[in-house]
Amino acid sequence: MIFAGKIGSSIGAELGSMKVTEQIDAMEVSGTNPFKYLVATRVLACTLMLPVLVMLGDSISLYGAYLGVNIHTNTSFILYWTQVFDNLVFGDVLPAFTKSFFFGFAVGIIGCYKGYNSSKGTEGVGRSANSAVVVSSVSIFVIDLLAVQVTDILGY
Amino acid sequence: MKSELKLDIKSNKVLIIINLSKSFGNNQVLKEFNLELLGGESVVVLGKSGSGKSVLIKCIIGLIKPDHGSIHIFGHNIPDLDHDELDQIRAKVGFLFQSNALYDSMTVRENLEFPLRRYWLEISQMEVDKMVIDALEDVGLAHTLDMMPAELSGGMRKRVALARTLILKPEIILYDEPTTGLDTITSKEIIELMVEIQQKYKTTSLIISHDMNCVRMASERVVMLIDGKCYASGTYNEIIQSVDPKVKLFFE
Ligand SMILES: Nc1ncnc2c1ncn2[C@@H]1O[C@H](COP(=O)(O)OP(=O)(O)OP(=O)(O)O)[C@@H](O)[C@H]1O
Ligand SMILES: [Mg+2]
Repeated sequence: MIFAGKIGSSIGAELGSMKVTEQIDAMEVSGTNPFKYLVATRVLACTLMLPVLVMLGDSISLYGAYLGVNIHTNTSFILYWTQVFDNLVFGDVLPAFTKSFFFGFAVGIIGCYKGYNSSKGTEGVGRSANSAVVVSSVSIFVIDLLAVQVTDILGY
Repeated sequence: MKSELKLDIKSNKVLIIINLSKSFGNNQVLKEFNLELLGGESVVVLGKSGSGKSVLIKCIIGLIKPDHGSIHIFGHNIPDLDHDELDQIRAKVGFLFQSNALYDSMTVRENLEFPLRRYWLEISQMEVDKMVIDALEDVGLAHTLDMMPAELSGGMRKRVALARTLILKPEIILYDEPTTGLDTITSKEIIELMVEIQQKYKTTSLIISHDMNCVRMASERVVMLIDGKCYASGTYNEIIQSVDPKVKLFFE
């Protein structure tokens, strides 16, 4: 969700301002497909990096949890991690990890779409950044909803 | 197509626009606009703000699809071309955007290298560097090579944009209001630069403007775009002596 806010709005605003200052038209005229050059790269980056971000976030929170446990009892670091991995089942990790690809893709594509189609004028840029955040947040809810259904059906 | 091409070479018409029309919703911007451009000629299209000058020039470069009419450049009708064919024409037609359209996340050098991307397999980095330096020297800004567009003044940005247009040595250059937003002295410098480039590279120029200095100094012929049509045309001296009230409005 934070990713949607931060990345969605920045992509929306960046492409939006490139659109209104005719930079996208200029690329088109210089023989570079702006769609490939700007949109495809950003969507790919979002799709690949959000899962990495999720893993990083998970590791940090597990480490935080270890510190919490360590305050009360004197658990060894190794014991904690073996416990964690013993209790984690495939079904916990895989769906969450897979989902994050879709989230990343959605945020990327919506940010780009909103920016690319932003209307003339500076307020068009603001509007596209804003609606990129709103639409991608909503889409994360929807994807999450679908993902839960799918994992249910697959029986994880 | 072929016979047409031969005809163009003979009569030396590089750009022919016939009955060009374009509307946005109910707003009919261009109504059967006609224009012909001879090789090496410098023509100024004069029209008030909102008269559709930018729409006209964007139709020529294929960024806007016209509703009706044809635009022949070197014998090819722009609205009929597919993407690759259009791209080949665009390599020969430079476009200077009204807003400069410099890529503000790139340095001046990277901005100038951008149009060369289409040849990146064919030319070496050394040649690219040389072309970049040459183009920047043409506009007198060799020292800005590694600066960002945001660090430049308005006049300098216009020059960099012009250098980026020049880097492919286009045969036709389309200027969309090259002096708007600049002070009189800087405008004059830009106009002088345009005339200099025109003479140095023998380019054909189509200049869109409402700046009288620009019209006076850079035009061999003036075309008045009024009510979406080519309303009147002639040399600067002919146009300023016109008795037509709509034309006279521009010279008061
Ligand atoms: N993409 C578009 N969608 C809808 N209307 C447009 C679009 N582009 C231009 N117009 C309309 O076309 C008309 C002409 O616009 P254009 O930008 O060509 O004017 P101009 O002659 O270049 O003016 P200026 O001197 O201010 O640059 C305007 O009324 C504008 O509202
Ligand atoms: Mg304009």
